[in-house]
Amino acid sequence: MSEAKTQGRLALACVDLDKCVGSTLCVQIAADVFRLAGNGQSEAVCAGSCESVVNAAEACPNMAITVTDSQTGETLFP
Amino acid sequence: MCQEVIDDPHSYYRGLREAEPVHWNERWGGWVLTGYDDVVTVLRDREHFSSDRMGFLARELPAEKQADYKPIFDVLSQWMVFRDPPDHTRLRILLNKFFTPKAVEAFRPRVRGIVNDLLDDLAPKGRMDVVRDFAYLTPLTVILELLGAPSLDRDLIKEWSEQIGVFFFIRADMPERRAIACEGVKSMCEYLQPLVEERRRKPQDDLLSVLVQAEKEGGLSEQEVISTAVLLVFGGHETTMNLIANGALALIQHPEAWTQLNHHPDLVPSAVEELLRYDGSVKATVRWAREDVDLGGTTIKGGDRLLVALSAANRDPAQFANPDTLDITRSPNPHVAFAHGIHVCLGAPLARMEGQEAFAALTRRITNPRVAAEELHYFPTVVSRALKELPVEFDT
Repeated sequence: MSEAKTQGRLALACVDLDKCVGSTLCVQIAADVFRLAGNGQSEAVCAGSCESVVNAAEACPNMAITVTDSQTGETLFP
Repeated sequence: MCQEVIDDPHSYYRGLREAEPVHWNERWGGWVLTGYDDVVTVLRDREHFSSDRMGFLARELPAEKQADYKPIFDVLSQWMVFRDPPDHTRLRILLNKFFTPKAVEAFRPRVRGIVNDLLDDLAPKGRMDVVRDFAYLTPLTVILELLGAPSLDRDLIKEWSEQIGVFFFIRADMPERRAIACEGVKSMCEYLQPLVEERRRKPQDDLLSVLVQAEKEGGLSEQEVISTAVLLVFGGHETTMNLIANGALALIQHPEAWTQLNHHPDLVPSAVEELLRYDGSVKATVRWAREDVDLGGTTIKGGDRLLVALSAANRDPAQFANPDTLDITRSPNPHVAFAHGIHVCLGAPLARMEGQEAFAALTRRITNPRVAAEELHYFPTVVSRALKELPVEFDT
């Protein structure tokens, strides 16, 4: 998936709570999309730009985040 | 801490967890947490629990004593491991992109090469010390290449890392551990400094250059550059060495698992997770309560320290079925060997990948390994699970 192709598109993130270790890196990188729940794990609260959501997902040390294109449903990460 | 607890921490932790999962240890002067839920709660709660080890140490020590330990205060206080946000966040975000699962994948072929080169030499000999000959050299070679310092003297690095480890891992038998660590820190800084200077003049495609570039852009202080370089050398090999050695021992003690991995290398990733859970390289990590806080009905006072026993949490029957059984197909496996929360191991993806390559190659190339020692012994530390040596014989 080239950047040009996803530019301006929105992406949806899904956090696997069996894998999330609460590093908070996704919240640091895409604060508009992720927030910390009360138990210290992350949750995705809305869609965000493909670039920032994929950056956040890549930063996760435990590969807990799956990213899909909000229009096509195509998996953008991993 | 007696030798029995060092050699078999799991039985000791099991006893504590069953009797009193939030336990005050008078001798250590702090709380010991052995239940999975409490461990995870504390690791994820950075509002109530701090990692500022050097800050809390400074409060305990008179000023003149602090001056004696200047090298560790100067250098280790800058380590992101011992810092709270926002400094921790700044350092972590800077380095994290070089250690993501995707980023370390690019280095996998090189790691495979390093591991197999070592085994080319070792396999025909019929015996090796897994710690010295294999587990130590693999991660050290990797981190030095990533830093851009492949030709550094391995023996010197080992000596200084052991000195730093005496403090970092809390060696119980060495009251002078701070002074010893000062020597190691000072020597390693002096040894790495010329390389840092070289990168300032002429940047390369390596991690030392990343640090120098961040300094140039105002993202890191001069002290943080050298401190982080020392952290990467030390953190980049000590714990991975123990992951490989402890994992190799567990597999040798479970020959059916060794054979299974040889025949089904696709099981290697889940085997690595299980080896991390079963006998990982970091037994515990330390936190300090910022204020009074309730933990499972026990009041922890502000300023109290807590030993967060990762290896105890990893054997908690409330979380893992048959926790004392090695099951290389275990899934899911939410172990806490790399901790949880903001300080979750930066190098975890790299360590996992190195472990995968090491165990895949070992089980493929070494047949019928046997421990060639009457007894095995571990360094007497609170934090790390580190074999002194692991002599092994095998078929040729």
